[in-house]
Amino acid sequence: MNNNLLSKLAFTGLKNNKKAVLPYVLVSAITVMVFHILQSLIDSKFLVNNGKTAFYGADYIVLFMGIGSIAVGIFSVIFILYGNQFVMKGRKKEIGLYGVLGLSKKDVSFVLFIENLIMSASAIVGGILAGTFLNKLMVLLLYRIIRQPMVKGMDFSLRATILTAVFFSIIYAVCFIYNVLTVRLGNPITILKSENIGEKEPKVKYPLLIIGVLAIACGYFLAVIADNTMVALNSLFIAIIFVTLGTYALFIAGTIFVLKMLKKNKNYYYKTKHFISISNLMFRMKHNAAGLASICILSTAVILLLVCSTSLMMLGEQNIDSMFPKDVMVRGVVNENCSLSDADNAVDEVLKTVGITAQDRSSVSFYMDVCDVEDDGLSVHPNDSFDFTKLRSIYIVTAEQYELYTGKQASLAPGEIYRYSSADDVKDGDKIKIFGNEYSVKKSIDESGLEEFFDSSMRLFGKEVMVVADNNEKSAMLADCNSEELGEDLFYIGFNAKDDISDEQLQTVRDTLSGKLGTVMCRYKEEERSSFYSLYGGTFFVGIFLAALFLIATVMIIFYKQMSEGMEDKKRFEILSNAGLSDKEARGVIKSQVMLMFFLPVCTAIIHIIFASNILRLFMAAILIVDTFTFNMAVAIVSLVFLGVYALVYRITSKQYYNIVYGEKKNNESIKENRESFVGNNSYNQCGAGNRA
Amino acid sequence: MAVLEVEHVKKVYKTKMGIDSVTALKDVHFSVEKGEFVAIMGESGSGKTTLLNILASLDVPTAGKVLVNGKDFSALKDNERAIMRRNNLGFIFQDFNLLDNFTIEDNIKLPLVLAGEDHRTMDDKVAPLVKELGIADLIHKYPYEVSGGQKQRTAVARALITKPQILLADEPTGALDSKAATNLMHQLRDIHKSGQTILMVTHSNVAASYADRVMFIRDGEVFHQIYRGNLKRSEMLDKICDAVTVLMRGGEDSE
Repeated sequence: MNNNLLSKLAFTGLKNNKKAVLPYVLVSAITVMVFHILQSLIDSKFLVNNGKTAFYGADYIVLFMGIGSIAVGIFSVIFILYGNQFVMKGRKKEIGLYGVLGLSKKDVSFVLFIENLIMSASAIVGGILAGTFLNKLMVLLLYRIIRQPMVKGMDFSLRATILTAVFFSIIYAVCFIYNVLTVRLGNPITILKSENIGEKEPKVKYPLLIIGVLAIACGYFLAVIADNTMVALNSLFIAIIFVTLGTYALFIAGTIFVLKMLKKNKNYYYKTKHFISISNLMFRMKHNAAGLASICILSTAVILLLVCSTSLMMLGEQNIDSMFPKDVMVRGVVNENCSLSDADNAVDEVLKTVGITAQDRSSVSFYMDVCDVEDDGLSVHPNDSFDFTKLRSIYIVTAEQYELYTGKQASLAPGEIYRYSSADDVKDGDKIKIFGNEYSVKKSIDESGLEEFFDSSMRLFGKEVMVVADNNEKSAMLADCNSEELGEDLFYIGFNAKDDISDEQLQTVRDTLSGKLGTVMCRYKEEERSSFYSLYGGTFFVGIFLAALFLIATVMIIFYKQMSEGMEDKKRFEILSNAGLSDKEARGVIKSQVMLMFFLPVCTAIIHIIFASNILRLFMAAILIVDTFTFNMAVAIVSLVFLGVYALVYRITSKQYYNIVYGEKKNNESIKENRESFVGNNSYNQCGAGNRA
Repeated sequence: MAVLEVEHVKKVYKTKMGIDSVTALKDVHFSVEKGEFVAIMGESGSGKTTLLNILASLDVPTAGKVLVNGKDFSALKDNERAIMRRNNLGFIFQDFNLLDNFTIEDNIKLPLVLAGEDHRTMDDKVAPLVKELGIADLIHKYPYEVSGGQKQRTAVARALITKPQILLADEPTGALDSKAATNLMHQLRDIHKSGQTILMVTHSNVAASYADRVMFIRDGEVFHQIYRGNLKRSEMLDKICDAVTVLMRGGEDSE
């Protein structure tokens, strides 16, 4: 067989199916691009140059890019296989016709090969080219997000390019093999015949319906009742599984149930709009419920991802400020070799030598431990216990230190305490048991001035501060604790630096202090800020990429769904038009139907998000301080943006759908197209005959 | 009074760019009286389908007019035409054109629903009709569950439920076996006897022999007409067969 002719056939085949082929190639190209960009950033000299990180935390970003690109890789396999399947579905009839016209399966495979080659080559080359040019833009974007100064110059990674090309070639090879197998395994007549066989009206699957309702209820219940981070950490994943399960079950059984109910209501059912929509939707849901549920879950994932990344960025400054109330914070252990005044002296001395001017200096020593909260007070947290739900951190400070540190008066008798609690409502005169001894709360104190005590790594848990009369009282309070327990006397020295501290100065301070005072933790705010933005900026960056990719995938699924449904509905609306359904009415019916199909998943997704916001916020609190208002704002903004983008997609694809179903103006065009393909087939026939002769 | 008047209808299809044009209907002129049963016969490509589409107001003539009850509805807008269509015309198609996701009952009710009728009065209209057509037991089934003849009777019921001025039938027996076809034609004759105006396009001599008048269309023109008068059906069939033979000869001569 003439290869030239076969290639021509492949070209016309692609051209005639451009509506299905173009989005497929485009989405694939975008996937290739995203993968390529993430991979090139791993090699970027702006992040790691010859094994040296370009800025503090760049290695985190490289790690995130790696993880991100693996995720993108997995998803691209799924997208491309799905898209390929759809494109092939549309071509089956044509391929069947080729078979009937006398093309051998080898020839058909050749045509398919040419087609796949064109599609894959344009996607891979296009994606890599776009990726190469956008790479620099992405570096700039990344630098902006992580607040690094801009850099000049381009970079290109050969390794990333080769990896991308090879990886996607393999995916396309798999697609090609799949396509060839479908052609080889089917016989022309069965492939050619794609007539709809009548089917039964779907029945309500009551067990599934009940499971769905229960699963959603359980999921929502878990999400809503979670009231602290520990509970959130425990139940978030269970809740996600419940809700996912429930979503699928409800989309499959619930929609049919509702439609059946509506159909039973004759007053509602026998109205032009409802009459047609309900019956159409019933059958459509039968086929598409799982697909719509997937769209819903994907949308939820996109929103979740974006909410987490956005709130991370929105809460950044606030977090850094609350974690670092002072520019420099020095913490260490008080013991017989090192008292608070030793530490104070050492700090003063080293600051003088390196030339740092300290302002707002404060220092305090206190006892820090963890405890479990009980009904009547606080008890020792057993060392072998992994039950963290009742855990709190406790800080015990003497009245003398309290006065010195906060500047507030404190007068306490033995057995009396001042108490601050981040979790409980403390009233003056309360009685509380602490490690087995009973105390009366003389005064409830508030958090102000105490923030610098708190160890930011213990943020997850509730905080208790107890002010006691003196050191004897403190020892008495701790007398019943076992010696093996975690608590230590600590000192804290914090100050603001007048000028920026250089890396060298910081290093000297660190070395000197640990030489004099033993293990000392000395943290500098600017350094922490940089590492914070690298860490969370990196996640944000990758998060945006993944979200964009999910969104594109969702759009592609919707687009293909609209197209295939348009084809199915075409005949139906022709009949309706014959029966006297006016164009205007048809538009109305189509619109309400498409709207429902379109917005059901995304509205469900948003409802999921609203229910999830509580547990999600608590979950996020495990890694940073989350302010409810900001977080809810992030949820609202992300949801609205997502809805907006989704609505835009709806506008575009519903136009397509309408054109397919009811496009009278488009009719001429489709006639022309048919004629073209007909002519194409004819020339085919002749050549097939010639070959045989 | 003529319920349908076709006045010098012409239809020319232009291809894209307007270089070639195909004349589907040259000059078709006839009228149908109230209560008449007219069959239109013709070869493929004679312009039958085009004519039916124009009569059904699915297509607009290039020249000429179609009047239903004296009203020209080619001048109306699309939406008004659709409403006109569902108020005045009933359709039967060769391939039934039933909606596969509706039950037989809902298929029949469709035109009433489109007309915005109250659902309580619908049942009163459906019941006698399905009884008459012998599909009363099937109304809760779906189209794919019933035979071709039953599907076509459903289509007839759907066409008649609005009590249309004219029943338009496009090859109603085309997809049926001979027994089902005879059955259907008997039913159409009964419907006609009850006063219904029917206009049927067909290939089948047998189907056409049930009509009061048979019109032959060739090359876009009414070529010949046969009136039944007092003839029996078998005599009518003979006449039609003769006319078809002449028609075919004429076709050969002109080649």
